[in-house]
Amino acid sequence: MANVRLSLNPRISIRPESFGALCYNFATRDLFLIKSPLALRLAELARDGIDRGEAEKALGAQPAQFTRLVDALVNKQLLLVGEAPLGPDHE
Amino acid sequence: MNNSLAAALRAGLAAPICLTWELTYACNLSCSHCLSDSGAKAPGELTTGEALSLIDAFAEMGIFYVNVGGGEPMMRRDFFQIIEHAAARRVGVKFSTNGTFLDAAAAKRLAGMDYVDVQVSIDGHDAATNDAVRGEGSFAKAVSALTNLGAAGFVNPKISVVATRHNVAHLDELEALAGSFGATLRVTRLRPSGRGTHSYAALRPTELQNRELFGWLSSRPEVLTGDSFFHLSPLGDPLPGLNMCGAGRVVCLVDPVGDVYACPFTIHPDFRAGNVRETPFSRIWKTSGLFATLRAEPGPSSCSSCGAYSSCQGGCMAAKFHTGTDLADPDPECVMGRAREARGTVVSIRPRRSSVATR
Repeated sequence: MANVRLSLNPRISIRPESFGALCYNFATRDLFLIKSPLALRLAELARDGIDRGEAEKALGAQPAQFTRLVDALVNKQLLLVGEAPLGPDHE
Repeated sequence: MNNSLAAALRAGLAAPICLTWELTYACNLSCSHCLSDSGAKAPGELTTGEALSLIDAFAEMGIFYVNVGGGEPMMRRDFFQIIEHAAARRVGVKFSTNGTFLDAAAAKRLAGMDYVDVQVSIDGHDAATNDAVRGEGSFAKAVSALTNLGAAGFVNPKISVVATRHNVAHLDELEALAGSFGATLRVTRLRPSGRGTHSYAALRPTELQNRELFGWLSSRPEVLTGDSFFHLSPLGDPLPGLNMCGAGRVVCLVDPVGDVYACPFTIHPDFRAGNVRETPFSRIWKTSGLFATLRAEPGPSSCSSCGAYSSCQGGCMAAKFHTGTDLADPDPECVMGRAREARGTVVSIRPRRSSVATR
């Protein structure tokens, strides 16, 4: 697991709001919210791509909690697993 | 939606989720329920340069997408330049059209674009029903546009239907029509705005039809509704969506001359928050006194004591305003039977029309 990379889905826009952030997936036209500060920090860490283990350490989360968080954000398609982030030229 | 989130949305966002941008008041059709009373181009519509700058402002605010309408937006010669700039700035475009100018070449160009949704307006399952509202030949034009989109490989267009007394009985046929074009059906509420102030009484669904419509939509979560039927929420479980009035809170309208209004259905001086030629759009959104009022907790109303209030929130502000209903009174289509007799319609006022007909 240590070498798995997490990256932010380049098709999703994240906008800070008072309650956390609003997110919009341009591929699915899905609008959703993130309210958990931990999830927002993970999304920020993954902006330029990050090793899964590094992200876990940086967040200081319990392993089970971190796994749930990653699963939830992958399920929302916000996080991509094992793929390098794509630059704007590759979209 | 939980209560804290609903409260956060009601209090307004840092920027709209989306906004409606009427690109022009010019239109080749004259639909009897046109919410913007379109026909001729208005004097002083935004120039290409102003339109592109406005998109930059939307992008900087993180606005996810704009609902581009009109009028018929394709009547602007710079239509593609505008929407291609939006796509380049990652501002999504949901574009509403009557389809007249959506020929094979336009369909191909749209099919090659990212971030663009196309909604073709059709208000009846057949030409007779549709054309009675939208004008002779308009059904054929819309069908031709959808055919062109399909031939060009445009994926998942939308057919946008305004629910009226004459088409609610034919929702199954409309669903089948959409299916035949690989399209998603979108059904929204008829508002008594623009020319709709005059046609509302004749076109609005009956109380029974509203119940049938709600039941039909409840069993089809895939049908889009533009969040427009929250006034019917007391009839059952709320339909998918935010189910709240978003005016000045999560949406607004920019008209062809740059006036900013609370929502697409309130083109009237009472709901004008500013003009983008005088004040940057972001400042209007953040500092408008009108929007502050709309984001404030509502005061007591004649709906406060009703058990359904938490579900429908008193209904649509625009529907009340244009029917002369006090904004603190129930929606004119209140399903709890509490609608009060209106004082008379309030007609939308938009910039004086040019006497010169547009092409």
